[in-house]
Amino acid sequence: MELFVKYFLSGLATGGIYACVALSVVMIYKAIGHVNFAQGEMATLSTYFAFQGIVWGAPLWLAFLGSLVLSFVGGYLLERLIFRRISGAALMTHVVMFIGLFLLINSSMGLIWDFSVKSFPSPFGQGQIGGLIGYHQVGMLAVTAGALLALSIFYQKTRIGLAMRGIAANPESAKLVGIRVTHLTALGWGISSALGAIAGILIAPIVFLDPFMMLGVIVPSFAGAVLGGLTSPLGAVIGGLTIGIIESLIGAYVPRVGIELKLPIAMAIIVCVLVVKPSGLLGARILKRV
Amino acid sequence: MGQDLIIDDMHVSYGDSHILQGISMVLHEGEVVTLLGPNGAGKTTTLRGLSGLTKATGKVTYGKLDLLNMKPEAILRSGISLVPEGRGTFASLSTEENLQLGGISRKADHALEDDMKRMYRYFPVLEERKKQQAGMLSGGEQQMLAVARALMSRPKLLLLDEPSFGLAPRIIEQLFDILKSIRETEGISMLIVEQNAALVMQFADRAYVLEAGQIVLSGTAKEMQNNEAILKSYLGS
Repeated sequence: MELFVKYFLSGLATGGIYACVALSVVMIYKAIGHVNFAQGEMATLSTYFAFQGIVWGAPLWLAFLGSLVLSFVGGYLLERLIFRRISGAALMTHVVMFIGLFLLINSSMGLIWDFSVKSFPSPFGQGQIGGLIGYHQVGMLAVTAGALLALSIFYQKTRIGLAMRGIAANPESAKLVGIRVTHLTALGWGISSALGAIAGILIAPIVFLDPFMMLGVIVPSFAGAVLGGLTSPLGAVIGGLTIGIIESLIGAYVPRVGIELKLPIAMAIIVCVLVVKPSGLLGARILKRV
Repeated sequence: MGQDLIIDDMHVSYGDSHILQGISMVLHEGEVVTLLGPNGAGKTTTLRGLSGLTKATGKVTYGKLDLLNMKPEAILRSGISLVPEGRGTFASLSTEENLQLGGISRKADHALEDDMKRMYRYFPVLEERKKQQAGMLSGGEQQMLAVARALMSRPKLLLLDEPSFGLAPRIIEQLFDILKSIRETEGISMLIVEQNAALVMQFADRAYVLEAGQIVLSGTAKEMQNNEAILKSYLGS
């Protein structure tokens, strides 16, 4: 039982990271109707921002805060300067843009910070609570829960949040009631990038920082987003947490799976959801006329 | 004077098809004018052009403003609000949130709260459905919500695109009664696109008939109603 609790909690903590990344994917999907493959690389870049801050001798909190702000601004500008111009373009145009962005960010990180694996400090320190869960994992859970709660309050209780939900529900009516749709779409990209930054900074102390750091995170996060239904923010959170827990328990109890086969598990979940229930747990079923 | 809407030689093209071929219309402050015509004549396109959703050329002035060079959000802030074709419901949001979105361009203050209550007085059914998802409302309720949502921005000119479309006769009558009382109490100008000519003529001051992208006829509602030939040939009633 103790083993179960231990792996469950550890899965929940990792699931919180997946939930953040899944949510950042869903936010952009709702805004532009495409899955941003480069979401993970954007989060890794954010983590390097924080890393650079630490190298320059900034206190941890300042480096993290700086990374969040930079990521927010970067996401905002990415929409305004690049994705605005191809809005409404075909699926393939977007796919090519995302792959391009992926490669560009990935190689730039290698160029600037080289490809070596770097250790990244945890703001929560070393140590365990009752041999069940590490300080860092407790911190991860607390921060992701706090971020998700803050975001949910933002969407439910503020006028900007309401306007953003209005755009997702009906873009044309949003224009008609006077919402500046273009500005708020960019704002959504900013928030999404900042959320990715939180995920990157929290996972880096565990998996260590290198330009490919998020590859192991983005696939389970996509699985979480798909499981939740791609259009539902709540679904993304539930999906991300579920994937984290499933992954951790299977790794612990099923022989031979271990850590190496975690990615195939996530892939298998993506395939199963798409085959059995494409709209996921909470997603809107979208019918297209042909 | 003042806040008149003057449309002068307005054109809209989609690709090769020339939908609006230079229409000219005037709507004086406080007037209710209807734009009639068969399907595909360009009625919806006219309203979309006026609200900035569709690119139009020519000259359209509202008071001193040049509408054709303005974005939808700026046109809304100048006091023109569209009740779009198909109602434009924010389907996944609640009825109350739909109304809040209607007033999102305004300052959040007591006046906004009062307007919300005023909408519930005009449309009591909306207050009953306040917390329900708007996409689950009936067609008539969604149309009322669309009108209320448009009014929440405090427009001086309301553009309505086929408000009677798909509604039961009893509901249509109810809706137009409410529109009448809104006009009387708030003094809002209205431009109403309709296929149901007989209905809207009882309410409008003047009418224009649009056919194949051109205005083919205009006059006061009385003149038009008394002219059997016009009604037969253009309005099919």
